[in-house]
Amino acid sequence: MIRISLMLPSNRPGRAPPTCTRCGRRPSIYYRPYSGERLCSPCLKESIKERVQRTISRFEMFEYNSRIAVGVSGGKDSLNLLHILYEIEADYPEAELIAISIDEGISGYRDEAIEHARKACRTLGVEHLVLSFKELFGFTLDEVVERTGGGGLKPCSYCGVLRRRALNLAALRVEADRLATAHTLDDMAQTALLNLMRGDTRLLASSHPSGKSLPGFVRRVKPYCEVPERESALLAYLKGIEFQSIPCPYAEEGMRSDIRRFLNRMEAKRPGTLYIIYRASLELASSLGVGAEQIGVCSRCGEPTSGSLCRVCQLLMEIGITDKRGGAQ
Amino acid sequence: MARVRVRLMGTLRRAIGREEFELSVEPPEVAQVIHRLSEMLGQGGAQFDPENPGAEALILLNGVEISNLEGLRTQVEDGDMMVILPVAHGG
Repeated sequence: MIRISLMLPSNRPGRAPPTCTRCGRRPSIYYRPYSGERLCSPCLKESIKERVQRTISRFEMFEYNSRIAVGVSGGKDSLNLLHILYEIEADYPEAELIAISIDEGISGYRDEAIEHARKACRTLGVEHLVLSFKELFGFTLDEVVERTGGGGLKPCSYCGVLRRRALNLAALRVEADRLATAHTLDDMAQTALLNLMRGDTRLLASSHPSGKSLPGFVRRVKPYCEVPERESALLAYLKGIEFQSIPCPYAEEGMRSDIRRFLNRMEAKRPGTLYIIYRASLELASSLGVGAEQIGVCSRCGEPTSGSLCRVCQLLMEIGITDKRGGAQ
Repeated sequence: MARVRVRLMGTLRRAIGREEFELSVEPPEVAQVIHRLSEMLGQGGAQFDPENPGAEALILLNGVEISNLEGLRTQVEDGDMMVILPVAHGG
């Protein structure tokens, strides 16, 4: 008699998850396709924290006494980073953390996220500064979009440039010597591909996670840059961090969205794609050998820039905003 | 046929307008639950790539991400809890 086994092969877990490949004790909850690891919840949390620590060390991001401004949008990635840096900095009593949030003025969307950021900072006892586009530049992003009337650049292009400036101004205001942002591995790979597709090798070189010390700029570092967004989402869920329920109304309009979808498919099909693009972009940036930029001041707002007119002022003038806001006040 | 509880997180919750609900699915597998959710989302279903729903969302069955099980072919049973986390929005 032929007996047909209903047992699944040992490498196919069925409904019962295999044991964690890291601790060898607890049942795993997550499979990392790019490394073959199967991780339980505590090991996943620990491995993400270790990855952030390794990134900080490799790129020499902080000093033992750094005053670190963390850009906290209130989304899952920045809240995760805030929690992780809070844990890491507990071992460095002379280091300081300050959370900074930028309210772009996107009706409905940002209010919810900033409330999440406020709550997290209260829980951790971290100082928190919120600055808005309205108070820094005199208008909200919604008003900018209204002015462009759907023509010209996409909202993300304005938002990116203005938020970058706003974060630097906020970091200067809290007298930080580092500005840490929660760019994920996905963000890094998307940006690399985006810059490549636009032929912008200067930007490709300047998005390096270690940042640079330039006059007038707080050094921007990206300690979260090797954490995939999928793992970030799972980490936030496991830690009980609240998720934003409202998507950014402008998010789907940018070229980045097309690249994100493409890369998500590629990563699912060929695990490791995001990391390979990220590593390749670092190598490309160093081999491009972009030298130290000559930093001067913008003739309009007085902020540091490599040209005569900074990008913020160029954008503002394009949409007919002619007063001299947008600099340190 | 299996009756499972579905809990939505983040933007999915708003897109479907419900946080938690029950679904009866036949055949009783994860893919069928996702198919039903895609139908509920309709045209606004940016969170799911129809060819590869796992690329845009994390799907947990009783707390275990489905790629750690049998993926979309994982069998579901009465009383199972599925949590769906959209990955891309709200960084």
